[in-house]
Amino acid sequence: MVHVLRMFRRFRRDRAKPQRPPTIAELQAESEAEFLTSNLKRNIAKIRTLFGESSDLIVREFTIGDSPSFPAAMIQIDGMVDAKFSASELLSTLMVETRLARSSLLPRTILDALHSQALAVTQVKKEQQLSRIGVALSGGDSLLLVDGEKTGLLCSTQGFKHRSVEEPQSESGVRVPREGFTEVLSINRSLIRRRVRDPRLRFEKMQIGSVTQTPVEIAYVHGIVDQALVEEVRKRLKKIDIDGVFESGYLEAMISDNPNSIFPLVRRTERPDTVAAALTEGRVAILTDGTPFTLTVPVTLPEMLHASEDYYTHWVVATFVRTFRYISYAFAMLGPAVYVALVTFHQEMIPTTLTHGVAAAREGVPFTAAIEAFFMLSVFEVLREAGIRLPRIVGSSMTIVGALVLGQQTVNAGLASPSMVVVVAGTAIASFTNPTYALDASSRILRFAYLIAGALLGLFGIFFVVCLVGMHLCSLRSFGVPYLSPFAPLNVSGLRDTAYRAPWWVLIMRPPYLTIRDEKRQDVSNRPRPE
Amino acid sequence: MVISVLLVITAYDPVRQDAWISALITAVGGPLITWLIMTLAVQFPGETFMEYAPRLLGKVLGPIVSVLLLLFLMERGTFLLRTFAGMLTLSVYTQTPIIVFMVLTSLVVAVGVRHGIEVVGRLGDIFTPIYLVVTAVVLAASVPLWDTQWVRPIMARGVLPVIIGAVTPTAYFVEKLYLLILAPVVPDVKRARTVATWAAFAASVIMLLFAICVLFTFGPFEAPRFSLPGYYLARIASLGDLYERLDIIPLLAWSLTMVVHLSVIAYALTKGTGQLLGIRDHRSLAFPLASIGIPVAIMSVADFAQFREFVHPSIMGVYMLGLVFPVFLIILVVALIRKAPARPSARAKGGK
Repeated sequence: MVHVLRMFRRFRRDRAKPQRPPTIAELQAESEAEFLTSNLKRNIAKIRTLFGESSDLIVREFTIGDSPSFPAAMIQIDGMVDAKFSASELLSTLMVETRLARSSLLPRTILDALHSQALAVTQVKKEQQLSRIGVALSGGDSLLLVDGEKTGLLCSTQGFKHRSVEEPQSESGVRVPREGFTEVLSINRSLIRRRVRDPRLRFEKMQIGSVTQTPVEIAYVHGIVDQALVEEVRKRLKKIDIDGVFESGYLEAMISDNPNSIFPLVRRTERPDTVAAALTEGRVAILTDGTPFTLTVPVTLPEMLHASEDYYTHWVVATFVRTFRYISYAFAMLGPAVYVALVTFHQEMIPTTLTHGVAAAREGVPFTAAIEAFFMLSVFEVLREAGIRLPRIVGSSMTIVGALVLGQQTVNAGLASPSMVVVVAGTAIASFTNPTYALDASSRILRFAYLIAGALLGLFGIFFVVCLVGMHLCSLRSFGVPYLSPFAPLNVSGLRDTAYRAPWWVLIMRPPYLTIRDEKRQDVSNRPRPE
Repeated sequence: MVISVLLVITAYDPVRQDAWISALITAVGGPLITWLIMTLAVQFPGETFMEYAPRLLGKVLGPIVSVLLLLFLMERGTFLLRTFAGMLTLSVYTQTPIIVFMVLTSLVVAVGVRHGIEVVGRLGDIFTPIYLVVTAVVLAASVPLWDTQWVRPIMARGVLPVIIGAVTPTAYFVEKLYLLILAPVVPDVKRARTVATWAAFAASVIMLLFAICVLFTFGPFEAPRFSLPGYYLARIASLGDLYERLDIIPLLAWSLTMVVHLSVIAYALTKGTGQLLGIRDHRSLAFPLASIGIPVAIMSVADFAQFREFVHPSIMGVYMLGLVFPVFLIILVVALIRKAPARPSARAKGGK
């Protein structure tokens, strides 16, 4: 019986095998093991099979030189290359000018000669492995194949269409550089390099995503950064094995110290000046192709409440604004909860006149303050989401509906009291002061948690949640740096750029809670004084 | 720690207007007790009491004393839990059953214990400035209500009531025995001893300030009657129109430090229990111990009347200074005489 079963199983296995088409992983492994041959026709055929007669594959066959002449081919992907450049510079050189200088091509191998004399391209790379050639072609390189050569020459001829450098959409300011990152990694790199010109600024290239092969680069300033941090970033990125990376959020989720925390442990920004400042402070930046959002690590909670503009304005002004930003962050989380707790449990804390006003306004409202707050906050969340998703054309009608109909008419319809509308609107405005969108998301979620706690047990309900959130925050680390530094663990000199923004000449050291190789930022004598 | 002390500083009735002198005595006695406790820890750097007790006191007596220490911490922790929950039900939530606050507090504390002492310490870093600022505001706000005549005559009934009045507040410092379990957390125990002693002194100074403010504000006849003199101080104090009827804010600020304090005791209890039972990951004990703590807390004190009885020098003083502390002193003397038998592993390494 067992014997029969075993036979049946073997029979099924044998039958199933040849029918199954190969998976992408198998195909990739296959192309990785495949190399170019010395036969031009066969090489072209190999690449044609690799791309499967894809419509954007361009194969241009021609001959190099006169006597001897070498059959050659130029292979490109349509739309990824600068067509004008590759025609006028590359092909014309190879087809016309090599013919004129026939003798010089002879002594060496044809490839070396082309490499050193004929290819007027800045970047040329020799490549034999088929899979790497495929990825390079998809990235906008042109492949030059010559008959009789086992090696192909990859010339960098990238010329795809992309968005130009524009003002960053998600982080605006008054006195800030207007340039923001784009979707193209090489442009982003140049935006950083233009701000940090020391050659010790290093970019390390890697590719993540087995199908997308997305270029990702680690940036740091050698000599300031702690090499252990770079090694840690490298290690965490190398560990990622995924099919595609379309935004830096993929990487963020996979290198975070505590991926389940709603608090962002990696900073993302589309401002090159922010990244440049982070790099000079000894942090590491991670650039991802295809997104303007660059990651920097490590980061602390207070730093996320700092806008880059804080550092460009007068220190008193910056401190003043920053204080309000801290308060706003707290209010964005606690505002509705404290209001509900006060009107439900601790009426005596509200000034007497206001108590009467609130009570009178709540007269016609059928719900308890908690449900009212829950309803209004939900409406606000929906409005906000709608504001992000809606097609720009219907924007104006949306504003009218949101502001007028919901705001004014909920009160008139008796669904919410005016004081609640004020509190929720105040919360909304407070949350817009947050310069880091990801951090704002945490306050939006916690707002509801606090609201429930405040509705159940008043201020001490909020107190218990504050304790739990506080413990969570104290336990977080971003690449080894405690999340609440310099407040906890307390680092007094670190408070110079957190509790207040000290004038620039006082910020002599780089943030003291970071582990960095060179801590001194500037000379002590920078304070302007009469000579 | 301070809040539990400020509850009792004026509790001993006969001391009346001389409570502040009692507080002065505490400012000497409290740090001294802390210093002595840390002195035992200094003898065994890098080890908790559970680890060196068998070597110091023998295979039988060592674990027994360890269990006693844990029971003592359990009693202290649950007493604090009961006090805290009682404070809330007495002041703000008069309608809410006390068990609600016990459960919530022990839940928060257990989460804190699971996060570890480092997290609790950092929480303390954040809460302490809040505590200090709020306390300073409350004390300052009481100044307009002062009547400095209340403290006279000084020591009208002689020295004895003053000394007896200092017994309970001083006795509170015996709970710092938890330091015997926490000490190995820091690399330099000797420095930790200095820090802990100064911290105890600072706590006593705050207590002294409270005693003075309460006395000057309420007078020697009213003050001893309050269960929560600090809270009543916050309640009647006001800063013009700016600060009025906001007594819950100081209460919140004090509760923050209360949670930290309770977490520290609970952490010591959990870690000690784990070591005694040989459990590698003591964090798994956090929630079970918290759930044991709740019924114990309910049993510890029935109501605030009993609480006041309990903190009377004749009970609290005898219990802490007459029973627990002498046992500790004997252990300390034994440790000093036996010259701290070294760790077996350390001795083996030294032999090579």
